[in-house]
Amino acid sequence: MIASPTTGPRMPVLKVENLAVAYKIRGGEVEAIQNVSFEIARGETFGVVGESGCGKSTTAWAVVNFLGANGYVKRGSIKFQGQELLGKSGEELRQLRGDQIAMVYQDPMQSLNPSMRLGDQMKEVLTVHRGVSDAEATRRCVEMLDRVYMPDPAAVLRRYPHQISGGQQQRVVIAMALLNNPALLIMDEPTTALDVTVEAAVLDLIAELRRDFDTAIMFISHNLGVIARICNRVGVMYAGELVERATVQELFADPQHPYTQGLIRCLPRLGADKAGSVLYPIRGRVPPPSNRPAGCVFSPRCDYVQERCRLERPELRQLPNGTFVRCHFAEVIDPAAWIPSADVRLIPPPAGNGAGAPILEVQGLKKYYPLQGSSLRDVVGLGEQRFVQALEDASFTVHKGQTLGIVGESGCGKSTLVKTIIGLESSSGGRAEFLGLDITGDLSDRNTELIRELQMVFQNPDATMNPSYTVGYQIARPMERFGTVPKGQIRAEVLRLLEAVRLGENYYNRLPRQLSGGEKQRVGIARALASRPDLVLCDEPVSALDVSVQAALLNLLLEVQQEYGTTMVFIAHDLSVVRYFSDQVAVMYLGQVVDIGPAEAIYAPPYHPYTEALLSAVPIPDPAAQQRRIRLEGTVPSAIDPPSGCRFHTRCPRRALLPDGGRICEMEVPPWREAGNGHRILCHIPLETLRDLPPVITVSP
Amino acid sequence: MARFLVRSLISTFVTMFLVSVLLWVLLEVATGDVAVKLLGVFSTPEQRASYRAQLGLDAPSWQRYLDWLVGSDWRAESQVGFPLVTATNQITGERVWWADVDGTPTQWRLEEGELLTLQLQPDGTVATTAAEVGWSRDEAGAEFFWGVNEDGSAVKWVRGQGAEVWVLTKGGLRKEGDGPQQYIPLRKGLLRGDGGKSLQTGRAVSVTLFPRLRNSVILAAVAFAVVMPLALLLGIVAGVNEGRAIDRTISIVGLTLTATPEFVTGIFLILIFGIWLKWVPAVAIFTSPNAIFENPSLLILPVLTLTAVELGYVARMTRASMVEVMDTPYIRTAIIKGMPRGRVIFRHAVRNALLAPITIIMLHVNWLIGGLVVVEVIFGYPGLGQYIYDAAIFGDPNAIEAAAMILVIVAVGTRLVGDFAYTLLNPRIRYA
Amino acid sequence: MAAIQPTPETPLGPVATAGGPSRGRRLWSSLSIIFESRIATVGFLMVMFWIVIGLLSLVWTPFPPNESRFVQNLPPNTTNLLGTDNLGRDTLSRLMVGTQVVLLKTRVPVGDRTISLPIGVAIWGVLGSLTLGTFLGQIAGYRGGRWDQTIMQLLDAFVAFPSIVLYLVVIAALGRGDLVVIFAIAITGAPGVARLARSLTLDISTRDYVRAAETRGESQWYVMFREILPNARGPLLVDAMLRVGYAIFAIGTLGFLGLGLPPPDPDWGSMVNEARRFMFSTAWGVIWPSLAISSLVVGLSLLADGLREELNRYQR
Repeated sequence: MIASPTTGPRMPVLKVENLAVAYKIRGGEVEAIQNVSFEIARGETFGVVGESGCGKSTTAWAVVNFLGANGYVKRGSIKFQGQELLGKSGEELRQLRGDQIAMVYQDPMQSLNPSMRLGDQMKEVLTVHRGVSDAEATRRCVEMLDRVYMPDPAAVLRRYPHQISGGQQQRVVIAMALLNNPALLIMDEPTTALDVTVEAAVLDLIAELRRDFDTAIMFISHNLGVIARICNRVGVMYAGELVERATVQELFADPQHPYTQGLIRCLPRLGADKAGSVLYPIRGRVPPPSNRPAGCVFSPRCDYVQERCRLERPELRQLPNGTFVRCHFAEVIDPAAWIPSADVRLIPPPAGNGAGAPILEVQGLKKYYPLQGSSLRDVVGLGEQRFVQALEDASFTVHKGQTLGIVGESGCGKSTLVKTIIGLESSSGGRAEFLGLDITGDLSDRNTELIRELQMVFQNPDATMNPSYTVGYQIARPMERFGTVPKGQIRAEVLRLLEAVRLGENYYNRLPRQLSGGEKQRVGIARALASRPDLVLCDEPVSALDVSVQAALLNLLLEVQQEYGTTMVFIAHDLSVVRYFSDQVAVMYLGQVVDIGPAEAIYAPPYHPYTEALLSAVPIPDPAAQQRRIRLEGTVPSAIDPPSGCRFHTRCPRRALLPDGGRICEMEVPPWREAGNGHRILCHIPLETLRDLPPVITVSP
Repeated sequence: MARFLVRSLISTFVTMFLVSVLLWVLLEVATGDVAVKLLGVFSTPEQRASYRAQLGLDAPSWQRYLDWLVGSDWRAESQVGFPLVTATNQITGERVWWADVDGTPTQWRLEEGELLTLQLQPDGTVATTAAEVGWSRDEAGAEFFWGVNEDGSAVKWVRGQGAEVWVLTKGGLRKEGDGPQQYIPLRKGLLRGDGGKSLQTGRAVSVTLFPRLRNSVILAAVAFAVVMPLALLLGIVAGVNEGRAIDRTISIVGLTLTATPEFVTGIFLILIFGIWLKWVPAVAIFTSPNAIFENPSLLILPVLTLTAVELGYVARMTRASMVEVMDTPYIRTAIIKGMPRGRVIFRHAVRNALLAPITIIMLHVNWLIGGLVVVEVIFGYPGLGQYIYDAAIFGDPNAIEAAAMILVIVAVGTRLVGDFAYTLLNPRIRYA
Repeated sequence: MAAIQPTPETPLGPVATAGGPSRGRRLWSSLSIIFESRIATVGFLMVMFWIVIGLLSLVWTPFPPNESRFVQNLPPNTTNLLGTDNLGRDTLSRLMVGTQVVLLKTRVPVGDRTISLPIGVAIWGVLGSLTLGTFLGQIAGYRGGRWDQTIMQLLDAFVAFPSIVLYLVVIAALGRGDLVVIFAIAITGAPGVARLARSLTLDISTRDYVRAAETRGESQWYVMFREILPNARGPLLVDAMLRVGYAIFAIGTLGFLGLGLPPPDPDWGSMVNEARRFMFSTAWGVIWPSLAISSLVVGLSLLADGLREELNRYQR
């Protein structure tokens, strides 16, 4: 631990002033970020938040001066522990990197070298920078892995990255970053690629390490919930500029910049539903660096825009409460008096809540994938045939006009369930009926009429549209295929649908590459609706989008659902979104539905122990909210050889509530317990005990 | 691993089978009358027919394919009535067929209507005596005898019918009477290691092919040993310096070399080094099959020619892979960890960057063989390439098939080596 | 505090461009991608040079290419700019006409006469392998399972079979002729195209728009040829361009081995082969056609390389 004697305890570890980064492109250059100023003190976590394309990562790369061949710092200064980093030679920077400044970024699998043992990758940080012996390096790596709660650290050192799970990979990356006890740790979306329970554990770890090592952390995230949980101070970036800088409490309680206010209004609060609240998207989209407005960068999207905003670029200035904000009118804007624009309105719940007839009934649905063995016995066909039990016993009913939300972590079988229902896969057992017709087979077993009734909205906006065809053609195709619209009227119908998804007529002839992510998703929705289906399956339709786009899209889905009376199955990993959007919610774990019922019932006691853990892990965009801390041990078991009895028993934190330490959970499949109002919980623990558990989340007024 | 090995083994055999059938069909459909080529255009139809019969070419195509694949001694044995055995001729190294008559290797010859017995003595000499065997009689009443002749065919001799055959001797075609009427050229078949005889030379393929193969392997190996280190190095240098002058130079030169046919490169090399600079002999004369051992400088120009084409290709592949790897997040991690540049390149990047080229290079061996044919023709190098060229031009089925089988083994083998190297370098597969 | 009231506006769309691009403009925009890259531009110019030469030779050459009217094996001089060959024919004229058979025309025997079809042997051959390979590769990649295994096994057998041997056997057997060479090129190129098409198909068929087509119950042919193929076009065309280069390469090699396109029309490989015997007295005869082959193949490779780089950048 090298603490420079001249560095006082309050001296910032990192001080960035008026930073501007430019990239050379063909025919000129663009400034990706401008006028960014902030400082981070020892032991502090400074969050940087904003939508994609706002320059968060560029700021981080500028700090370590790793901007690629065509990027450079154009103006400003970056002081690290009092010394200017700009103008330092490559060799000086190299010695700082990995030693004094460490970095962790998004995808741990990508950031570890696939062909080197983890031990070699970790040890070299010590051997290169500190010149320690190999044995000593090994010892310190084991120590550090132990410190990040990695089970069996010595063995991990001998493994390759692909041999450990994503959460463990991120622990290795974090341990590697901390090996030399750096003064500054830059984390760029370190938990974005992880599941919510793993994310919670990693965030806990980061908070703990910051306290213990007294490191300054620059924490970049697009997720306001994560920022609220982990940061002391926050900088909000918009279009390459820092528009607001405040303590985390101030920022969420009293946001000053209209952009910050807008961001917070976009988010569904955990517990909010569509009947009682509305999401307010920010209109328009982030301008590309080459096309930023002359005055305030936010002015084209700002609800409070004045003439001055269009002409004069505001400076970052301090308000009386200590917050820094880049807005001419921060003092006079009162977010409480904000009036939503006319086109966003509360969607009234459908008349006769939940009264619709059952449209989709699934009972004990199974999907097994045969597994190819690789031993000689398997090759000659003597080996025992094994299966991945991707879906085991999914049961639920969806009523007409309602939305069933399905949540669960990756690998829980959500996507398999959807594929089986839509017919991309045939099921391996169980019963599934749509409007009384059997749908256990795949598409080849279904007639055109049935195929037409079931349509799907996909996750990835960049893959949802065929790049070779125009928007108009792709929406028209289902109409031609199913003959739902007479030939002559197809164009008119396509235009009507474009209107319904809030895209104008001028989108008809566009190609997908001319659309933004949100627009592509809108076309995807229009295409799904084009055949006038009764049931639309939405597979994470908003998870790849920025929050403001996400809000607009959720609103749109609600609108079209109401207008067309469409029934929906909605998959998402974000519990707040599912809560907001769904009438019924099913929680899945390892191929099973473990908890199902009306949305409000799922999010309140009695909880299924897994649901309880999920809720405890959700990052809430409100630093004042209290969340009980329940963390799951270990990783999701393999679906090839799932645990006996209750599949959750290996990780269940509530087994201790049962007599005999929950032996029964290992032996017997748990019963369905009816908690009233259609809420059913698959658990051995009696309902009374579950009811006595306190709520996971309490929002203080 | 077991799956991989079993699959590749099966795949090799399937491939060889498919290739052999394909070639057979192609040669059957396409090749002109071999007898015309061997006997000349002035031979009579009777002469040709007789000669074709002696070569067994009058049998149906599928029969000949089976003979080629699994041998003909099976079906000949049932006719002859004695076990058929082979012994190696000490002088030519070729295989000679005998019938095993009570433990004595025996052949027969019909001379002036009299059947003679040739018996192989333990000391290697052959004793000729009048045959004591009885003639058999068929339904039509003709006397016939099935035996093995000196050319290694099972032959049906028929007595007293005056049937005439035309035999090709050193002095030309000679008419023999009272002779053999049906031939089954004896062979063990490819599966038992016998590639048959070349129609063009009349010698066993296995005897003539291997010295040629050895020469080609030497040529290819030397070229490979020159190309690989150099190309990988150039590729890495170019990839690391993407977009700089050195990268552009290596890329353009590599592209030009790859895009220039071997015969052009070869001719330019001869012009430059042989004719203008006179550093190496412009015309290499291979006086004996062992010439390259006696005068290794004969290898220089052929190796350079082969090198030129491969060098550019491999270097460009490596460069592309290196550029891709240098752009990955894990290389970024290594740089952000403060690793020195050399360490980033050699410890972190190279191993990953070699993955893609290795499989591609191994698949590229066919290209190398194509080059081999041209190079050997240009320089008159007595290798497999020239052998194939000659055989193909003549339409010599046994020679082509044998050479093709070797090429398939080489191609499949190198692919396996490539897969294996890939597995070794890639822990994601090794520890799947 | 006088709060500023929000001023709701109509939602901002991106700047609207009315209508889609017209066909001509789209064609131009795909052509203009060539000029984005310096490498591609150089390659394009080299290829265009030969195409123009070839077109010119259809209507005019300095001398009749197949007439022996000069002294044999002359070095370049003012009459015969590139010299003459071993039969006293003008090398420049023969070189110019040599472009035709690879790039511009294919001679097909019909009865006793020979008629010429547009587009050269190299290009027809590559079109053949492109069609066959794409078809097989798409089926293997999209259908998977047994189809994939069977097709790939067959193609592996083909790949294991050195193409030069196939060329030699086919041509030695069927005789020299434009159609035979086209056939040989098409067959030997198909496995490579199929591999590429298969891997592209495998990649593209994971995209959601393919799922969308499947959940519409589209037929497999529709999915393969309407949804997948248009998005595989770019890489396949770039690959085809390289293959035209290799085909010219192969035709040259065959000519050199004495198995090239049938006389009397000159092809470059045969010209090298004929001139080779006189290399020790005059090297010009081998240099010119060698340069011609190399420059055309290099040009095609540069064009393909530059295009590939541009396409990658475009997709990112």
